[in-house]
Amino acid sequence: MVAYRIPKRYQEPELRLLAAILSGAQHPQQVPDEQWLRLLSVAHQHNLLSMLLWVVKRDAPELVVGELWEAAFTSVRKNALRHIWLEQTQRQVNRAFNEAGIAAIWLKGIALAVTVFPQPALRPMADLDVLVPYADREAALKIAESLGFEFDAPPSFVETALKDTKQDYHYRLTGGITGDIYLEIHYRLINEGETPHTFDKEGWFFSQVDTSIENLPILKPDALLLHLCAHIVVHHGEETAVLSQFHDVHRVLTNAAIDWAFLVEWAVNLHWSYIVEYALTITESLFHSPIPAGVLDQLRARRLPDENILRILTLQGRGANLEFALGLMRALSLVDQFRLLRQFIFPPRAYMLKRYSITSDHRVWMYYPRRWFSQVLVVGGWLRQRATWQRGLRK
Amino acid sequence: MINYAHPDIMIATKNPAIVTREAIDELVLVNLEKIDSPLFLNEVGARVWSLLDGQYNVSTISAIIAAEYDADISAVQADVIEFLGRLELMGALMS
Repeated sequence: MVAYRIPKRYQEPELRLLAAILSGAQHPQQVPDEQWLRLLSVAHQHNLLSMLLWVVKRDAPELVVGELWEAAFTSVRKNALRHIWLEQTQRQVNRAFNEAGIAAIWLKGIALAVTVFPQPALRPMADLDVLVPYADREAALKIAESLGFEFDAPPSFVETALKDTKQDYHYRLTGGITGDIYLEIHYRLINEGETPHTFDKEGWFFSQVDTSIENLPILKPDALLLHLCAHIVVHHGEETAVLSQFHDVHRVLTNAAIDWAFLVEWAVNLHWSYIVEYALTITESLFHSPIPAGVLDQLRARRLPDENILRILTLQGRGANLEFALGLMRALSLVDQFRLLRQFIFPPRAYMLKRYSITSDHRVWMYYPRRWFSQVLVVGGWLRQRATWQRGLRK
Repeated sequence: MINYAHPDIMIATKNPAIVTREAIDELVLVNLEKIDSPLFLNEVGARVWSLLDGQYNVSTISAIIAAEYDADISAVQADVIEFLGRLELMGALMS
């Protein structure tokens, strides 16, 4: 059995207070006046400003006065407007896919906004995510291009090298009604790296589609929850997750009917039992979400021996980027491995300017030693943590 | 052009190209044919919008709003006329 602690970043008092207010565990009136500025700032960082405004207006409207809340109102208006553009674009793309006979499942933001949030505008959305069958990916791309979408950026050499490997999972395009809407056409649901499992996960998810909302085929709640957990924990690595992603899980847990026996069974079959256990544990710790007794125990007891827990664990802590990079390396040729390594050590000037917020009066080369020093620390931390996890898993 | 100088005439209905979205206690209106001119309505504006179903004239809408918000009917009527003018400007009404 693997023991883990709730990571330190989820133990920050303001973060936990924000989660408690959103879940109703803490009444806004009990929050001292001087704490609101910080709380609003944390809510903004974690994409939860609109939800915080909605909850406080509902539970303690007398608190929502003054300039302090102006940014929150602006945020809600922007979200509402953005949601209209995204929805119109989604309908246009969905209609075109339908006419071409391409099955589609709309994932994450747009699915959550209209199903488990009190108002769609309360779920900020940056882009549209749609899953299409792998065999239809090129046809879907052509349709999107015919609707005016273009690639967000020319493919990097890494993306080109990864084409047709298991880590090749989506097209990222921009366009739509306002011209600045990002559309991600996924043909693999999750970038899991080079897993040895051959089960057709996408095929299973295509058997879990809810078509009750016109023009918006989405996942049924159990599959939606499984996907959210995997997306948080393994797709990008949970180290980069924001509170709003766990809040999404909380909203599904509290606003959708979950068939827990089915969920456990499929978490196990998909080799995601640890992912689901981890995501649910953190969500419950933050939002006091209702998870039936015994579910986490069942996930542990039924876990298949070939689940790659070590990779999941190493994605959660310092050095998660390194874990991803190594995953990439394994899929690349020797020449491309060398090119990738060179890019990590000597990233282009444009990247350095952005990454280190370098102003015009500073020389870029001065920042390379700083980068190398921090990378050495990251590699050291990653090796130490990995060894700790490995020892833990052997016990 | 709708003649609001005669509040007893029947007013126009909503343009189907208008899409609305709730934003807590406001309502966002967007004309899909003129995407750069959204309108954000407060609670009263949203209530007037809900009454624009082609069955009520300006006088009736003003009377309903004045009764619901306990306000002076002539002041409400002036506000409603001004509001409808803004809606018409963004193309939200069909004449």
